Amino acid sequence: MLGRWLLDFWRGYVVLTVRGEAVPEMLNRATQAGIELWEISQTKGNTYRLRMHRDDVKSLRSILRETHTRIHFERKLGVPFLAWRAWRRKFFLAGALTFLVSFYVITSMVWNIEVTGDLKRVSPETVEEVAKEVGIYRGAWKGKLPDTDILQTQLLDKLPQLSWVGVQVQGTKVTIQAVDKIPGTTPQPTNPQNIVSPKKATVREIFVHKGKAAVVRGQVVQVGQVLINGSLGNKSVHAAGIIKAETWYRSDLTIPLQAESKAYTGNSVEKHFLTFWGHPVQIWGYGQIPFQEMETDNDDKALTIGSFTFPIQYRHAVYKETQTQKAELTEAEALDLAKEFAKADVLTKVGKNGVVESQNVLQRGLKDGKLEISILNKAIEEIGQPQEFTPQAPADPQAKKQ
Amino acid sequence: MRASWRQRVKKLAADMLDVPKDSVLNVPRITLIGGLQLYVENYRGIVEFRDDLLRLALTEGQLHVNGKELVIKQIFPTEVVIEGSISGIKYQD
Repeated sequence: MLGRWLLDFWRGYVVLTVRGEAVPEMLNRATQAGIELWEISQTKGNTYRLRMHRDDVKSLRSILRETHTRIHFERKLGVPFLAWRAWRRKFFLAGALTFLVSFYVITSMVWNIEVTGDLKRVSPETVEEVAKEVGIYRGAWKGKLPDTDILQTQLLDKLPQLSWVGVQVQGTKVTIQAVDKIPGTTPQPTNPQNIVSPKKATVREIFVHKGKAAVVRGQVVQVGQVLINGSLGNKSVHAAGIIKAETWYRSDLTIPLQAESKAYTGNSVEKHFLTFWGHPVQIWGYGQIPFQEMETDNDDKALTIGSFTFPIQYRHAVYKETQTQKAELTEAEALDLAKEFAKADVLTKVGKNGVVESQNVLQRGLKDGKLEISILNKAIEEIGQPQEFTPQAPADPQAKKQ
Repeated sequence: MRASWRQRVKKLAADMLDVPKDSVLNVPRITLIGGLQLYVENYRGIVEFRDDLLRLALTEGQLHVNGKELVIKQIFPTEVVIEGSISGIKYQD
């Protein structure tokens, strides 16, 4: 019975009502003419509902005319009608299909790659680049990716610094877990070298790890002078050590005594925009900005898909009221400020273990409401630069004058 | 209605040969299944069809089918299938 119905559905059939005085006569004639009818029932007085094949409707027409029967189609069921409707809505269907296809495509790609693990010897970016070589990159087909264990071995081969790599594909995300090899003791470099001074300085302390001290405490050294000698007569070593020395830096500064500075008052107004191709269109927060002076913070949120940036962006603008404050500095204050600036400047030059020991004002003068000042900063810093030498020519322990 | 001479000969032959009479004598073969389904073979046509009454034309006379919510399930030139709650069938000359 179900097979029967399927067949009918495949051919397509119609549900129709017929109305007329001579419906039984019409049924008889139709049956004689070989038209298949089924599910005939009376709905009202002389109105009947019945089902028939769609291609029999044509041959029924003449019989209907002869028996003065009116016909009214109620439903059209079956594959041909479905196909016809689908054809009428072909663009809708195409859209649905496109959606499904693109959904499938998008979900079968790798969208982001995460490198996890406590990595010290390689940066996650390096791992990502190597993964790219192996075939794990944004937009890679998941179906084309080899098995994860193959990927793992490939990654391990290309990254000898790692002891273990795990690759997991979760949906559109690939997680690469990497474990460093425990770094062994790096062999000490053994190439012969001296430690020389990069700048003019006065030696304060010298600690020799290897080699022979070539200078003593309190000695003034010149640029390029050997501090720790790597040649010990008959053999050469890789000289090493720490030399703390006194160095001098001169800072010339100009400090205006009248300073303007801006400060936020804490009042702010927010506005929201949508920018279309760079043209902002306000969508929220109308009204005048009641500030004389202000600063604007624009926070743009752009929607990017891959390398494509949407031209329509959301902008959240915050207008913060500012107040200009005029500050009058006394000469003493300006001097302190100058010293502070000079110290900060020197500290950037002396390395992480350097300190500024003292500051002396060399000269100062007021000019056009500005304090012009020169400060000599005394700093203590570690000096010493490795300098390789060939053992055939032992380095000259004598100081080289500049 | 008096059976014609031809009919009588046919009936006699059917009796002697012991074959089902519907195939020889053009009389209907009616199968009723529990008041739910009715198969009528060898009918001649529909005379009247209502929700509660179906009159079928036979070679001789009519067949009245009484019931409720009668539906002609299928209809062919020599066979008709009726469903519904059938309360009675009756010959009518």
